[in-house]
Amino acid sequence: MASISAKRLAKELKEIQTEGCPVGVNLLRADDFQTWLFSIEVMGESLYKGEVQTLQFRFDSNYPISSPAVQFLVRENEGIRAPIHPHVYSNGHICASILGTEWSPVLSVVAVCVTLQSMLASCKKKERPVDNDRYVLHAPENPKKTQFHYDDDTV
Amino acid sequence: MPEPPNRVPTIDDLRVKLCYICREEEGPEQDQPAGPPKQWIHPCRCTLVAHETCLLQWIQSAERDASRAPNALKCPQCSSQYQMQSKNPFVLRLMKKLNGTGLWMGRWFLLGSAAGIIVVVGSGFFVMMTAYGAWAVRQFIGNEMFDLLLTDDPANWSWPVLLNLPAIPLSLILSRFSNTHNFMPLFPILLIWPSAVPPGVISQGRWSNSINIFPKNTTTTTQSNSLLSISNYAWPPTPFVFGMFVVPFVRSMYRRWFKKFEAAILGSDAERQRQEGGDNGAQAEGDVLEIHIRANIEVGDGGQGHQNGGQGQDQGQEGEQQAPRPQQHQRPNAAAGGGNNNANNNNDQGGGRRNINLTSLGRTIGGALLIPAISNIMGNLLYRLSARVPFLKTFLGVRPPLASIYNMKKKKGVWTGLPPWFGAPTISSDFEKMGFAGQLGSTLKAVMITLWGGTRTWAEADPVWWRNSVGFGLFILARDCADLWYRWLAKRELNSRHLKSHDFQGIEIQELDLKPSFFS
Repeated sequence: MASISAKRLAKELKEIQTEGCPVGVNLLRADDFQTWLFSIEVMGESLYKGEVQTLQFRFDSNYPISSPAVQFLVRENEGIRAPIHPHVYSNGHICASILGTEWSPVLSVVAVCVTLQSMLASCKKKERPVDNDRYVLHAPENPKKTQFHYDDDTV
Repeated sequence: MPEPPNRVPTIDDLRVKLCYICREEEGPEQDQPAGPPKQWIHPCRCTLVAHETCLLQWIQSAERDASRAPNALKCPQCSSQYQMQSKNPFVLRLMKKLNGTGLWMGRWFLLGSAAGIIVVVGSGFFVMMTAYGAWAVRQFIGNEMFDLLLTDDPANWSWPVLLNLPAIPLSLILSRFSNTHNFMPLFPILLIWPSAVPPGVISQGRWSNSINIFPKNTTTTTQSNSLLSISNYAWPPTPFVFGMFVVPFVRSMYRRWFKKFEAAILGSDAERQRQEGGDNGAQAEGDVLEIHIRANIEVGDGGQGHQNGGQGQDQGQEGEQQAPRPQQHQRPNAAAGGGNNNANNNNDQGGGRRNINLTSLGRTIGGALLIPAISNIMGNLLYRLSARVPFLKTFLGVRPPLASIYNMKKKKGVWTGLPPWFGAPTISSDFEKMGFAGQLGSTLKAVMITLWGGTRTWAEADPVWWRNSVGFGLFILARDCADLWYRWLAKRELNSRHLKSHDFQGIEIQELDLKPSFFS
């Protein structure tokens, strides 16, 4: 019997296939219910004009009760890098409350893509988080294992 | 379009129900999902509906995480509060509170002991540990035995004592981290002195030697009244027998029995794991606070890794979903890795696992160091109780303090002097005449008999250590039962949860996809 996560992901996948992704978001790979890849691109005028990022989703069997592990894909040798953004670390980890404490099952993969897209779109200054080097040095492989502290309510 | 009737639609009037958690749909066109029908609820003021089981699962997992707990009972879309009913008796809420307090105390204990360690390092680790050890022994064996065996003056302590005393706090603490828990800590205490010459006896000058292990006549060793005849003092068991045999036996029996009892009360392990399983595998309760503490510590060291971004415009937002605003920034905690490790949690059976985190560390160490005091208090309770219950008095082998026996005899005029064994010379001239081999053999024999039978001092004195051990055992039993009761209540609370379902008051009927039957 398929787990809850597989059932729900199958539904989400079907929706994506029938209704398509929002503008600027494209499904790259969804061969299984563990890892999905999307490309996202900020449409219109923004600091990221012309850049296409790869977003990686990893699901565990408790999805959607537990949040997906979402990060930008980084493959230095293939020239795939994380976007430069004050909330995105150079290893691709993203500090976004909806991926952590504010995750809710009402959200979906597409909703997360859209939210992250708008996070990039609203960026005023391209720079890394101030503690990037320190974080990347010790960061766990899975961004869900990081206890991000969201204290910037002004974003 | 038909005129809407004069009533508020409810969840039963929806043509298609879509669980916002598992995304399963139920309606006339959908295949009925296999399995028993699921309860649907509309717990809030917006259009979201869900399976009750899905929602309860979500709430449970959110409650487990301190940072998400405040929002566990809130609708993610309209933020209205879910109303949950469950069997949540006062006792359970009190226990939860106490549990929280315990965690809190653990934290403060740790801070306190961190400060203490600085003092200890400054003033001498050894002295501090020894002082604790002496206190623990006094608590455990009672004042009388303590004065008799050790005395308050450290100058009287022999070198094994000086080695053993500081080891007590260490062994108490270590015992909490290994699987051999609870009773083991008493073991070192019991084994310290069964054969040691009590300095107190000598220093008091009343008795030249209380044990006189060396018989006057080596050929009549077995008859020597200087060694204890087991039949006279068979109860309570000697500390050695008790520590070596009784404790391990009772402990293993108790564990086996309690595990069965636990399984009977809480259901199978599988069931328990299902209960505990939540977000990404289970998180034990302690972990919640762990995360919290770490967060606090991080706050203290004050990195300010955040920038202002602009307000995100929800560009492509479609449909009914209002994704929360793009997030905020943060300071990552490099030390993280706290909550979600599936692998570890699978081992969480049978209470063998101890989370090594700051809070529970404090609680564990604090608890370990309190063992002597707990034993003492429980022993005292038993002693008082034994005054009224003759059986208990026999069982505990309560005797009047040594001093009072002698005083009483004196008053009655029966007392003519010290008992013969007290007056015996320490080392007889016969013994000195023996060769080395003879001395060694005789000594070994004496030591063995002493270990087995205990010394007269132990046997004659009021066995405070015995009732303290029994008391501590009862304490463990009571604690385990309370713990089990707590878990049973908590489980019942989870299983009895129900969310209140509301009608669609305040929502435009046009927004709802209602069954045609609603309008007729």
